[in-house]
Amino acid sequence: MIKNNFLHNDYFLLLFRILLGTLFLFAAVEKISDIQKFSVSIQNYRIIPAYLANIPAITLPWIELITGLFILFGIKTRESAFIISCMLIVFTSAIIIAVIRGLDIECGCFGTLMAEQAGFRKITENVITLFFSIILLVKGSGKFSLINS
Amino acid sequence: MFLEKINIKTILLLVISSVILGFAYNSLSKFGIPIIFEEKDYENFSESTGYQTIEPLLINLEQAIEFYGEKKVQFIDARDRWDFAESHILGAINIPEYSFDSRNFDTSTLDKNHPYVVYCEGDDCDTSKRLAEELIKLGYSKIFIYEGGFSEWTNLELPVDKK
Repeated sequence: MIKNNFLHNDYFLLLFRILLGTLFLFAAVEKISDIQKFSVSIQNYRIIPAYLANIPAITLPWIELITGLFILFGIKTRESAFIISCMLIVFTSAIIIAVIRGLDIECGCFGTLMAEQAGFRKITENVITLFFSIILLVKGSGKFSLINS
Repeated sequence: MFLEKINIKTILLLVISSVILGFAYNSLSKFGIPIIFEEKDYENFSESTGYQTIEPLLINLEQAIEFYGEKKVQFIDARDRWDFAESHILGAINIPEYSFDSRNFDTSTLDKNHPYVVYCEGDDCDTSKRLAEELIKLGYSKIFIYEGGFSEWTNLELPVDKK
């Protein structure tokens, strides 16, 4: 059976996995390199009380790291994509809330490396990333993976 | 249906393992942070605390006005460059805290023996405190934080420089 729909194409699934996996690995490493600064970024959103901000600062980058690695190698792809999709929904919601409140803050998305404003551009980037993640959630890893899942 | 192919136990295992790894790394790392963040309490400046500080000292409005009158005290605006460009305390320089990188900061541009007053918007912002801490780490020993900030200064129509 010829699969001519690009969403079924194993090469596209591999491409999405590489893009998503690399992005999250990179973001994770940058945050882990300066957890303090990431905690400050979380506090700036003023969504959770400041005294609790260190907990997501300590744990979120590691969730990004592990799921990023798994997706890159095609291990437990659907489950990793599910977690990544949830994180993206949470991050994007936080940015939308910041924009509505008129907060002029740095996104905190890539730790100390890139100062990106929490704004519409970031929301758009996240939505596109979420799109790739949902495709992997629905379709799985494709045949180019360590463990086909 | 793809939902049937998703293993909830795997999801929980991934998340819990990552969380454990995160806490483990944090406790072993020399850059680890406390699990519960505690807001730091700064001491208020007075004649008895002196001008040489190993930690930033807080100053109130009266002290800020007095320091402002002493020409050799330099005010530093810790807000971003767009806020600074719009308006700032007259004579202040801008060191935006959000993009401040102590590793790349050229300390020859600021005399370490000079006293500096750091401010941001006002009561609700911590940017001045964070910048003050970074400057102390770089070896600046006369760092004061004007907590009232730009909003208090402008409310009293004190001198500003604006676009």
